[in-house]
Amino acid sequence: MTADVSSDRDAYNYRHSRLRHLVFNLRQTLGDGGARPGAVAPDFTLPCVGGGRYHLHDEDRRLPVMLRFASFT
Amino acid sequence: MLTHQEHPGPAAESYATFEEKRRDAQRYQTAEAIRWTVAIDDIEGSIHQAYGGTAHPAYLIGTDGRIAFTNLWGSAPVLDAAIDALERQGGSGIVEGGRNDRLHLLAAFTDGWRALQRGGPRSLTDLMLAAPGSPMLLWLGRRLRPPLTLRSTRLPSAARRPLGLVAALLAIAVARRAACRSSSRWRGG
Repeated sequence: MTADVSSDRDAYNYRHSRLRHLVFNLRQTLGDGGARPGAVAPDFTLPCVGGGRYHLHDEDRRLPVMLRFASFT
Repeated sequence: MLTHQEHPGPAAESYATFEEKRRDAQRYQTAEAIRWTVAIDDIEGSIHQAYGGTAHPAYLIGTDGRIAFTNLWGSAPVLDAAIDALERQGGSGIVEGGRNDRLHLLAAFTDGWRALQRGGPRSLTDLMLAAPGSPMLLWLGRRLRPPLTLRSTRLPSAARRPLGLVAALLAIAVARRAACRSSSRWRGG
């Protein structure tokens, strides 16, 4: 139990959803969390479902993008 | 973009390998009938954390590559209005004040139960311990889903006020519980 808690405490891939995770989301919402409006969106190139890769700041892209983060659970 | 497991459980454990995450990304796209691109963040959640690391934020990015609008709780009517505003503005620049900070818990209320079911029993018990009573609200919300969230227009004021009150009460309960825990830890309890 102790080992699980100590390794789980600050891990991104935690094993248990805790109150502190809910509080973090609340604080980010009520504070100024997340990337700022007007700032350049952090770039990325990532693999996609079905194959291929997606590059956010692709020079050929001519349309706005809605970027939504989600969890399977 | 698929992030970490928000509510891990025996049926959907936190990711140990990228292949596990890729598998869940496919399952998620199928389960939610998603027709657009689903990107898969790395195991460390590098991109998710670069964008703040919160549960389910949404970012509208203009043709200039800059963030036009953000809503940390992904409210469909709010995002719909932002998209319309960005189109009217030619596709770039800040719209709708750049950010909506309201606690839009309605989608979590109506769709959260589905997420807990995917995780299994531990997802449910962990949430019960963190926010007592919330799983029962999510169970109720699942049954109220169609009239509440399957829409792109805002609810009338008469419906928004009681829902806003519920959201505020939940937020206060979570904050008070966190404060009690912090206080007892300081006292050595």
